[in-house]
Amino acid sequence: MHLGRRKFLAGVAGTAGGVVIVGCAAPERESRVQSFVLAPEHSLPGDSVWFATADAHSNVGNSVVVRTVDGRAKKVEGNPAFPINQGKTDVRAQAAVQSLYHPDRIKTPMIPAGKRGDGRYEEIIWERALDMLGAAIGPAGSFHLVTSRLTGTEARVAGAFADLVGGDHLVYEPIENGTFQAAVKKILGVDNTPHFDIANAGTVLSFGADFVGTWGSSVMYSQAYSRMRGGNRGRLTQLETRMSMTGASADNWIYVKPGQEGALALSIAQVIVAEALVHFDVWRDVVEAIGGVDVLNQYAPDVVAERTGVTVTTVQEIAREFVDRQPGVAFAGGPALAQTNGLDNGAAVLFLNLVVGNLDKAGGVLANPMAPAHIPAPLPETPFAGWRSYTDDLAAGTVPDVLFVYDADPAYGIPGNPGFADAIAEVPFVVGMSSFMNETVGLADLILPATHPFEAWGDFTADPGPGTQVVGFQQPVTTPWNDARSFGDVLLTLAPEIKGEGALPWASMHEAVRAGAEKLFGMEETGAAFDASWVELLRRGGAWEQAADVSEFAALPDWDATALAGPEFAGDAGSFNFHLIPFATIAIGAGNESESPWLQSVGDPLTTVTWTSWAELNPETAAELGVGTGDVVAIDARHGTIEVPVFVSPVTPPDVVAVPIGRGRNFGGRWRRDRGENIFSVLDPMTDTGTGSLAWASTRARVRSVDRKIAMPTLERVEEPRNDVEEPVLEVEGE
Amino acid sequence: MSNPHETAALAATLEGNGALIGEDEGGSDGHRWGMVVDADLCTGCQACVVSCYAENNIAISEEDRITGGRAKTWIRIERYWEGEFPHAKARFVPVLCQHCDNAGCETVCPVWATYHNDEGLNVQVYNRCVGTRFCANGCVYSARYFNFWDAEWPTPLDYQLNPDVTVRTKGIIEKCTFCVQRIQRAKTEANRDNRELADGDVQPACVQSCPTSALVFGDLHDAESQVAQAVHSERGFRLLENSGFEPAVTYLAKIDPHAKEATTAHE
Repeated sequence: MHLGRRKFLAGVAGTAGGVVIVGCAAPERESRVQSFVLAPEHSLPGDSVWFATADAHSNVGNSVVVRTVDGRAKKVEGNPAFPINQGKTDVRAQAAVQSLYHPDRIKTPMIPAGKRGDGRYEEIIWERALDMLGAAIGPAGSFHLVTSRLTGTEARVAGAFADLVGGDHLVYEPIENGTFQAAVKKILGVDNTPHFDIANAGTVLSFGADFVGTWGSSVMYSQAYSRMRGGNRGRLTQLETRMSMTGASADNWIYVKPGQEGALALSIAQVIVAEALVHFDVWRDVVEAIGGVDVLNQYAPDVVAERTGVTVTTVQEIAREFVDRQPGVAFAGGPALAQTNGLDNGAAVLFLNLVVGNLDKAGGVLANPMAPAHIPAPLPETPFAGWRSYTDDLAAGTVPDVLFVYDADPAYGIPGNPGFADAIAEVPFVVGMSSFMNETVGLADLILPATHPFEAWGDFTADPGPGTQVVGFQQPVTTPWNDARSFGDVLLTLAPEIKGEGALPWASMHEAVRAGAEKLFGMEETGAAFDASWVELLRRGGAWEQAADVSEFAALPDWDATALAGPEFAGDAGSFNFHLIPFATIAIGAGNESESPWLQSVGDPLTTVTWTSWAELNPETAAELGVGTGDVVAIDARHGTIEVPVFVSPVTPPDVVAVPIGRGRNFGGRWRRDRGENIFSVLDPMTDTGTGSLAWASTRARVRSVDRKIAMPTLERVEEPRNDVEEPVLEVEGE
Repeated sequence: MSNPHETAALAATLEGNGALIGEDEGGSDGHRWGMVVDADLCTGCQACVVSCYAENNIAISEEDRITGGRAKTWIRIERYWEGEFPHAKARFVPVLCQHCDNAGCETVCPVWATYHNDEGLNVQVYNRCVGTRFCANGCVYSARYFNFWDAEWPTPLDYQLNPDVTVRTKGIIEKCTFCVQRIQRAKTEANRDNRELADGDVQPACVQSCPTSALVFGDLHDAESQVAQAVHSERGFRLLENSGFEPAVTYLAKIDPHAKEATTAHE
């Protein structure tokens, strides 16, 4: 079954339009027995009805179409009309139906049956839960709202509610984006995410950014990668401390010592300038702006080769290829920015784009429009340094009267002591709202079941866009099978009860999202006149034809290259002789989707390990330690120890131990609980000095065998399967 | 054996007459389904794997089943190493049932649960299968999976099951069908609209989700189709070609600008 763009549009227009309007063809309640004489309009038993809606997990803005049969969601496909993902999806979107129908979702509001956090709960009805909420928030002297990086109308409703009750809104994300955004601001002078035009690039230099895996708008960039490989076949050079999926697809994979990505980038820039590979008119002003040629010369390849671990010849080859195969684009992400010098690393890498003059050019860096103010891009997170001090304050007794946590799990992901779980012990009233139990919600006085995105209204602005403004809409494709409610609707229900009628301008999320769409087209309060447009927007999944001015890149960077310092690490190199490099995996990311057994059983691409945590070690390192794949090792860091099995990997650097993020959870259902270890528990609370973001790749560790072995849950059944040159499984050709 | 196509396939198999069941076979309406996998575009992202799970009601592979070597993935991404650090490389190869023209699985089934249909599909008839597992032993691609257990879908997880695809019981073999239910659905829709199937009307779930379009599916008998054109690429090869199974899946070689010499199997 192929859903081409034309067919999709024609299909929904011709057959399913009415259904798309109402948002759902299922009975109001699953338990209602109803004759099909009174069948919902447009719904025939066994017939498929397709709904366009937002990708369930994506925070970058993908749109999907969901196949429903008899009111139940069956299969997710990419929305072929949507400019970001263009009919494609990633692995997590495909598993969205499993988190929707997961038997261990929170089904109804609950309160602790005993002591808070002891794991016993009593179910209550929503009316009582709302009464409890209103009674707590109404008279509260202080109210703190903690959420994930909400987007669109949901973000606006949360902010408006916090303002209404005089509260503070904090945003938590374990893998922060703030360092990248700050680097963009310094080098490009814009406040939003630019578009890296990989599709039309002749060369891509990616410093740790796993852009076909877990970094940025990975579905959009995967398609761009595919186009780059067509035609003249652009080159990809990946420079990083642990081989990512993107690194595995690169033409050149270069190991960079942790935290030295900025020095390497300036070294490449120095070669371009010193060898006059680009006309000096292009780079003169921007080089002057960051400190001049003299500063660059301090990063000549022979000067920094030992620091970076990259040879002079290699740096020269990278620089020459970057110029020879223009247009080219350079960007940084992942562990390159998760260092104490992360901001400067990011700035140095982005600076390469200025040296070759590829801003606002096809194949280079393209500016995006700012998101419309009423459909904001994902909220910036509160930097880790802010979370650390907030946690310390809570532990010291400076607590709000009410702490409302939605879709965030700071008790899982905030390293350092005291932990967030201990710190909230003195908060008088903690509310946790989520689809699944997690480390934070498990400690709440009131637990509220949140809808799955396929059950709720919402909207988003793609971030990054493809150089244009792309807005998507989220409509319910099915009614909740449990007693879940949408976060926005709960706030909009509470607002008039606490502050009186009209306290907030919307009665429901549906109304708020539609009002946002009306505003997008300048049709506020036109009422029924907007009906047809609204239906069309929902059919298509969004709006992307409106003209919007793109942000203007600054003429010169606002960055001083002399500020680039070397990285600092937690733990001395003598006692802790490994760099501990955490990484997100394609299937469960930072762990938010780990409730899905399908995603748990998907093999990590590089190792094929499923279900558990592991430690990647270089073969020689493993031999020195006397361990092999499946042997359990203890990883000791200053803040703790975890024990995980080894996976021996020939792509792992000898001084690196790499461990995936996202496992080691005590809550969240039968398929998430008690699997692997939580790497955050041993990370040092080091921060990027420029932004305060968590420097999650700056912890040192030592590794020791504990003389225990497990059966390793790898999908491959052969140790170190090789593509033998003499008799290859996969044929490889030169260009 | 009432199905004339099965009879023809069986006769052809017994006579070793590959032409009857191979690329030149006409069939009732002339389709010959095939796939091209461009190894240069596969990033190992696993979208195809879970898309297949959702489309085909693939049972959950619990941890102990994976450690026991009984994981079930109709399509899987194999990863092969080359070289050593710092020059080590990882290569991804998506592997699914190759729908071989000269399939090792078909000749060994004592009950004709697996046979070659007239459109080139290697078909598995679940309610004929008696679980000898001869076919799985005959498949060099390890693309056939035996159900050692009944699949468990604790309610409401069963709400997600695709009604177009049966949930298989224990004791039988299952494997990739090229999403035969999607082929049938596309044919029905084309018939309803009184038109011929067009290139791209049929996309298995894995192909539809693939973010890099590394997977291309279509009718090899349609010379204009994307798959028919891609199959003639100079980079084309077939997995374990020396086995002589004549797969319907063609792979396009990975391109590596630093490959000193092409690692081709038949030099």
